[in-house]
Parts: sequence; C-alpha cells; structure tokens
Amino acid sequence: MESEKSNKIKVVLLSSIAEDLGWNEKFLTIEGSQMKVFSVWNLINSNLPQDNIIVSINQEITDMDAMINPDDEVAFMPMFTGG
Amino acid sequence: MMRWHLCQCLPVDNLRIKFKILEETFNPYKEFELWEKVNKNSANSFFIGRVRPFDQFGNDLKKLEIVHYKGMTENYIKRYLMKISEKQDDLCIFLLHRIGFIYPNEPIILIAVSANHRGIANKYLQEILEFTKYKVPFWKKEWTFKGSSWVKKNTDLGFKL
Repeated sequence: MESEKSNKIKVVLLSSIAEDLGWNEKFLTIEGSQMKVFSVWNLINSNLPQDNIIVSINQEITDMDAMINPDDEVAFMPMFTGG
Repeated sequence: MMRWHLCQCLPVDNLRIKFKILEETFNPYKEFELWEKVNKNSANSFFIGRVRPFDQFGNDLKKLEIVHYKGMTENYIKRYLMKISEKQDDLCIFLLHRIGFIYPNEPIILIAVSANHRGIANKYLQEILEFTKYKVPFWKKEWTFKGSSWVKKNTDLGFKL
C-alpha cells in the first residue's frame, strides 16, 4: 500500500512582516509536488513590497526562485538588525 | 535591582567557542572574568553593546525588544564561529546576545575574543560584531512612551574601514 504523503508546508513570518500580516505561522496545502517560494509569498502576502525580504527554507537562507517541497518550512523576514 | 547570573554556555564542539542567547539580563564583567580564567591566551579583546536611551528618531526610549528565529539564529552563529576558529587555531571566542525586553543601558551583547596576538583578537572581535549585526536573524523593536517601531537598519559603524 502506498504511504500517504503530506502536501503541507509550514510558513513562518518574522518581525515586522508577522506584525504587518497579523500572524506568525500557518500550514498551507500546496498543489503538486513542489512550489516556488515566490508563489507562496504571493499566496500569503497582501501588498507588502518584496524588496529587502530575506527568505529561508528549513532555516537556510535562499531566494524567491527556490523550490519548496511538502513538509518544508519556509520563512519570510526583513533585513537583520541585531548586534 | 540589576540581576545577573554566570552563564552556563554550551561549548561548541571544543572548549574554544562558547555562546548563548539569553532571555534575562547579565553582568558582562562577571561573565568575562569567569571566561578569562579558563583561557590562557595573552591578548584579550572584548566588546559590550548596550541599549541607547533614545530611539532611531531621537525620542526617549522606554525599552528595546529583540526577537530571533529560534533554531536558525543559533545555527548561523554556531556555524560561523566554528568556521573562524578553524582558520585560527589559537582563537577563543565567547558570545552572549540578549533577546526579549531590554532597558536603556542594559547590555545587549558581549563578545570576547582571545588569541596569542592583539591584531588577531581585535580583528575577529570586529568581524564577529559585524556578523551579528548583518548576518544573523535578530530584529530590534523600539518602544517609547508613544508607541513602538521596528528598527529598519543598523546604526553606522562610526568610521570607514
């Protein structure tokens, strides 16, 4: 019997992006086996500018053209201001 | 009353690197003193970054809030510190960074670096500080008596490298 695969991804928002959109994390169902980070951004985003946004998949920084697989964690965050 | 504790940092792979993200305030001098006792290098540099009493617009600051991306922040710091300690085998590094609410003049960050020569200790101290400002997922939010706003960019270095 074929095991049932999840087609969900976890989306994490941080800092001002979480505040602007009003949530910190959500699970989304993706259609097909993969999806571009950019498509997720379009799905969740209202009107935030895309400039200066840092994205990560499974906590590794990547770019908007990277592909997300089921069970991945994708995060959107503004420029870092620590130290 | 100022609270402080001696930080129970986990050494990263070897005893030359120690770092921790703290949710409570700390006494950087006590932490440095304890750390210095266990490393025997002759050149020691350290930096303490504190909360300014005003925000990015010049208003009186009530408190600073720092958030991080749990897991990713720790991994990025750990990986970076391991990379530079491999380049320089006499280097010892100690890094503490606050998250949560921090009040004016309380410490945000302590970086201590020791090596056999002052040039190496100073060079890596500066490099680690800039790394924590630009390459690690930390964000600052300033709270004043009128409201709050996210810090959009880091303050300048203060001189040209």
